[in-house]
Amino acid sequence: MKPLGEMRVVNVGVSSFADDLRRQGIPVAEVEWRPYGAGDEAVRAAMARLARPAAQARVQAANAEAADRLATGGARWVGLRPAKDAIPGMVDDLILHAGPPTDWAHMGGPMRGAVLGALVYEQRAASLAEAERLVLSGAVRFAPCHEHAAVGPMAGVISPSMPVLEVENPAFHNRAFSTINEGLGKVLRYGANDASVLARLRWMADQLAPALQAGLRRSGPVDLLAIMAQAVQMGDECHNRNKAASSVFARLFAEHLVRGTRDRDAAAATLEFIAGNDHFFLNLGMAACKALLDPLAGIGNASTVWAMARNGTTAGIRVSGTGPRWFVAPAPAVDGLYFPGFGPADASPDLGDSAITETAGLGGFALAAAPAIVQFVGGTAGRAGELTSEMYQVTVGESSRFTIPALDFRGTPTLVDAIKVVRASLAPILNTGIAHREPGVGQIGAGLVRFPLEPFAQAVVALADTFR
Amino acid sequence: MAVASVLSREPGVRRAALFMATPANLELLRQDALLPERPPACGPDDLLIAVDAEDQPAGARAVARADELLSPPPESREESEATAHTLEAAATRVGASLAAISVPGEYAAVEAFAALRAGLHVFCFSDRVSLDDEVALKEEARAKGLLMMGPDCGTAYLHGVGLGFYNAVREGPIGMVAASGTGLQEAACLLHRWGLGISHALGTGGRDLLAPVAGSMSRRAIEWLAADAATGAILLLAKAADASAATQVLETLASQPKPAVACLRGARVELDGVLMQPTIRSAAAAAARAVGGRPPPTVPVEVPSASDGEVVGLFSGGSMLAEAEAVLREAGAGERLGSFVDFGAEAFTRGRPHPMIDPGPRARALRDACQRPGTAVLLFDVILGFGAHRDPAGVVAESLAGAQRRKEVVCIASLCGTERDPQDYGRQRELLEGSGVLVFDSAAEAAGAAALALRRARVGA
Repeated sequence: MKPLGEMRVVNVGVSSFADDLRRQGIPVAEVEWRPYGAGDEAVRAAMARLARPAAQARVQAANAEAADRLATGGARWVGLRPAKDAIPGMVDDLILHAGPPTDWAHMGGPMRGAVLGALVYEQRAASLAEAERLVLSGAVRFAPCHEHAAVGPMAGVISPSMPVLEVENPAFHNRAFSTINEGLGKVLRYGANDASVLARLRWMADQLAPALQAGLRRSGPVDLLAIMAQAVQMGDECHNRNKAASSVFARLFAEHLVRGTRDRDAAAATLEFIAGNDHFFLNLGMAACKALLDPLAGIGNASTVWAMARNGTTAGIRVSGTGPRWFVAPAPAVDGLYFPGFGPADASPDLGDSAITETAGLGGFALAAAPAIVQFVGGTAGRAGELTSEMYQVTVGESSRFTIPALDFRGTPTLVDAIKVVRASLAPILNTGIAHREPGVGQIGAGLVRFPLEPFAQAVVALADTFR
Repeated sequence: MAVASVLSREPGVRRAALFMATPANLELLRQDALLPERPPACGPDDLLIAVDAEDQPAGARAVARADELLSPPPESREESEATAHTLEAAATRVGASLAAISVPGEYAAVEAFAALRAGLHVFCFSDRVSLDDEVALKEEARAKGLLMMGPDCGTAYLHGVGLGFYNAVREGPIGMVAASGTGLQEAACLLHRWGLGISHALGTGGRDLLAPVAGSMSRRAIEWLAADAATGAILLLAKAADASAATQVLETLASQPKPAVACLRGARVELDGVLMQPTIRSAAAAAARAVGGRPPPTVPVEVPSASDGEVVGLFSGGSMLAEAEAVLREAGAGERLGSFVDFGAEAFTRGRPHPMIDPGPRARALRDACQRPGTAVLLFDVILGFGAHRDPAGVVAESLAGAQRRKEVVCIASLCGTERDPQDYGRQRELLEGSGVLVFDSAAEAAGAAALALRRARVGA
């Protein structure tokens, strides 16, 4: 029989028991406990079924497999081609978008603006009005980027002729895709779609992409995880702050760009573009996270989360043990700091596939590594540490590759476990930009947002069903 | 080198050395006669721990100590800023060895399984856990060598520390295993009042002797106490819900070497090696004698005669009720039993505080029963201690003070508590006696007095 040793107690429930123990000189830690799933009976029953030792053993083994796949994966930038050539299942009448599945009727302002702009860009319509008629006629199909191994920030719209970054995970030979980040201000991903936006998109396809391709041919595959690991040590969290990663990338790539293009102006324009965009690396980082996480898709019995995404209307997750199924809830409002002249009433609900960074243990899960962004979203360094620390309670483990100097180089909390989320009644924290609810206005602020709890509760119920 | 220095001060160790097993170091060890004739296979990347000890056990202990020193347990990370939202997070923070669980019953099993998985002993106060889960929890605990006290465990004492609802009692040589919290409390208070004390009191939860659970925790607890150096005798308090489970538990009790006493309500078993007693009080007394104590005999008391009518029993502890009923029936007063209610029972605690915390409803029922024409004797319990209301006797006294027919009813109570409890035992007793209540130390004695009162019917009433 295991000895009791020096008695130290964890108390979960009535506080007075803890008080009585402390009075007797016994060290006690209390739990901030809440009924799972806000008291929903189906959630409670599912948690009870999953708690039995036999079921737990299966879950733990499956989650260990998921963690192993994540740890052994890699992410290298290997290509840059038009979406219709690179992305599986990309066809002429398809438009990909961020977040869980949605349709025109349910899309918010920024996403609609981006869709219309993309249709004009594709020359499927001569004007935005015509593009809208085209959509309403049913001639345009929509699908989540996620279901095509792709990710897009904010509206996340990808159309067939847009150049996409191709990122490969050499451990599992899968690829993930994302567009090149347009920069700040009036951009498609915030729903802007006027002539200047489309002109930039054309320039990116005609001038920028070929230059980058030339540089890539010369450099060979670029190890993105190495850049991201350095960036986290330099104050980035790779979601809302990408300045260090973008700088490291530029420094690494500049020579290849110059020598690869052998065109001074093309190289200079490219470098100017990269230097002017603090979030240049974001899309590469997002694709890297997607490449790392896609191999976790179909692991029976696993409660690990392999995707978290929002489309401005709903927020959804996917869990390894329930495969491609989406579990969704209304997209939350972001609690943040607004640029002058804007406020919460102007904001679009949470939007974008960039939550893939949190899913891989970055972004909000690495806040303690990014004091500058914490300030930007209205927090303190102490609060950042708290929020990051909380996330250790809902993840399978810690990152072996992304470590936080301020936490004694502890690995970031990594691989959200849906069962732990429900058990703790504690949802993942995201660190994100805020879009204006109307198309075309752009970013109006940034802040922290809690993913809703309901999708995790639904996922646990579905997972428990597979244990019957 | 620091580790080697610590090891060489361990009992029975003459010399100790820790070296990377490079050829040069191995040669040094050989020269120092610290290398055995057949050294273990090792290479330059291996750390070799060499101990020269007086005997094999001392050497083995020293090597184990080296292991401990070389791989310290993970320090609880200073995440002290973040709130712990899970049992696991809080357990890591404090380096827990035990989990105390009192969440609503339908959630308690999940938390208890998690606690066992984390290697913690469990004190589970929550009730309304499914029987299936209780069986699985106790199996899991057994497999991992852990204590699963509960579900529905109201009281426990470990190394002198009280858990749940408990009275302040001194430590001593008697170890208890109990299915009932209030029964445990009464026995503990009696032992304390008789100058003795408890080593540990392990609660098993109320259903441990049901057939599916088969006395699992009771048997583990007995084994634990049998192996515990501070325990001189073992006292078991339970209900013999299932004959086979009861027999198995008694056999475990009989087959261990320490003196054993059992009050197993409803048991018709006799076993060599276990002293069976009919009441909690008599069992506590037998246990006291087994360790050389001298419990006072029950003293005959002047009891007023009761009128025609019934004895009504209103209890906060289920075992107090069972004890009282049994004593009254045994005394031949079965026909005079009126309504006997356990206010602590599940039906009453669904969504309501336990009567030990909120004595109001039971006190009002005492007044109502008093006022009912058919009531001749009012029998109840008052339980003090940590977790209980700060003035249970005061609440009762106030309620009885306003009762009609007060003079026609004989009021008898057992008062469970010690002078070390937070409620001021002396004052609580005064309040009850001042209300004309006859106060005893145990439910059995109180019931005995009730039986006496009933027998001495008033002439011409």
